[in-house]
Amino acid sequence: MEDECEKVWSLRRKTGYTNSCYYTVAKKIMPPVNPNPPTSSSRSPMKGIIIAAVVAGLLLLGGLLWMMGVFNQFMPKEAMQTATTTQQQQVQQPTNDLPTASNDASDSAIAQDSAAIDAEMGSLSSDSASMDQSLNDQPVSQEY
Amino acid sequence: MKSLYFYVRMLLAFSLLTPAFVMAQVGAGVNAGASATVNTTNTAQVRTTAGASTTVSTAVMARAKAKAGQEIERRTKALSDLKARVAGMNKVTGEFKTNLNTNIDTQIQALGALKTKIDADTEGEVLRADVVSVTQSYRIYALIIPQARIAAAADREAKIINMMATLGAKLQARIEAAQTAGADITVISAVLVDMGAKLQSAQVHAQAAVNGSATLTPDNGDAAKMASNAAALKTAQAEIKAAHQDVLAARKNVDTIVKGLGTISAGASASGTVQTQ
Repeated sequence: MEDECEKVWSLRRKTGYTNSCYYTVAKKIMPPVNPNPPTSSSRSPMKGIIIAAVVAGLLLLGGLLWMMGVFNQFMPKEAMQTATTTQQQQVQQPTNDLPTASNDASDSAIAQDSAAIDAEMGSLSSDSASMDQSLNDQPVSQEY
Repeated sequence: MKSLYFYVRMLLAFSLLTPAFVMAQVGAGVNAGASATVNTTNTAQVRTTAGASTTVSTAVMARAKAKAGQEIERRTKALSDLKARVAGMNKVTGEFKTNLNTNIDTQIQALGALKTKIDADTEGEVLRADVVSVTQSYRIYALIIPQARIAAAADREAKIINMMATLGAKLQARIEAAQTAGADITVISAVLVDMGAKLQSAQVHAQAAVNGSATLTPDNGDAAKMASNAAALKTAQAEIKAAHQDVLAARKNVDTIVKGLGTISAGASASGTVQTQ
C-alpha cells in the first residue's frame, strides 16, 4: 500500500491534488460505504412508541408470571425448598393429640399414649351411647 | 416392611372431617303453616253444660300449655347440653362447627319464641297447632340432636384415629430398631400393617357418617321426608359403629405389637446374658 501511495503522491505533487493517499488507495480495496447514512431526523416516532409499548408489555407479563410462580422451576434450589417448606407448614400443621412427644418412642411414652387413647375410647363409648339414645327417642304423647 | 408412614400422611390429610355439603338449615325449623293440618272437629266431643265446658276447655288448655312448656324446656336443655359438646369438638372444620352452633342457637331461640306464643294463646285450635309444631316442625329429638350427636361421635373418632396414627409411627420406629438389631419382626410388622388398614377404614366410616347426616333438614310434617331423614340417620349411626369397631381392632393391634416388642427385647437381653457368661 505504501508503494502505491508513493506512486500516487508523486503524481499528485505534479497535479496539486492534495487528498489523502491512503484514503484514495483504501477506496480501491475496501467495500464502498453507504453514501447516505440514516440520521435521527429520518426515523418514525411511531416506531419508537411501538417498541416501547412492546417492551413494557413484556415486562408486565413477566411480572405476572413471576407472581404466579411460573419461574419457580428456575429458582435456586435452596430458596425453592424454603418456600415450599414454609408453605407446607402453613397449610398442614400436624397436631399431636398424644400426651407425649411425637418422637418419643420409649416404653413409658407408649404406655402413656395407650392410656390416653383408652380414655378417649371410653368417651367415644359415651358419645355412641348418647347417639343411640337420641335415635331411639320416642315422641311424648301430647295433651290433645 | 410396608411403611405406616404412608397411612399417617394420608390420615393427616383427612384429619379434619369435612361434610360434603355444609348444613343450610338456619331458620328452616320454623313452620308457620302447621295449623293447616290441624283437625278442627275434636272440640265437639266435650259433653258438658255451656258454663262447665268453658271451664274444662280452659283447664285443658292450661294443661296443654304446661305440658308443651315442659317439652320445650326439655328440648332446650338438650340443645344447651349439645352445644357444650359441640364446643369440645376439634376435628371437624370450623365452618361445620359454626353451622352446628348456628342451628342449635336458632332452634333454642325459636323454641323460646314458641313458648311465649303458646303461653299467650287463647284459641284452642291455635294452641293445638302450636303444640303440634313442637314435635313436627322443630324435630329437635328426631333430627337436630341425633345429627349433632353423630357429628360429635365422628369428631371423637377422628381424634382417636389421629392419636393412634401418631402412636403407630412410634411403634414403627421401634420395630425398625428391632429389625436393625437382628430381630425377626415379620409377625409384628404384619400387625402394624393391619393397624394402619383399620385406621384408614375407620376414617372412611367416620367421614361417611358426617357426609350422610350433615345436610339433613327438618321434615316439617312431611312424612316421606321424615322417613328419609330417619333412614339417613340410621345409616350414619351404622357408619359410626363400624368406625368404632375399627378403632377397637386397631387398639388391640397396639397391644399385640407392644407385647411382641417386649418379647423381642426380653429375648435380646437373655441372649446378651448368655454371651457374657
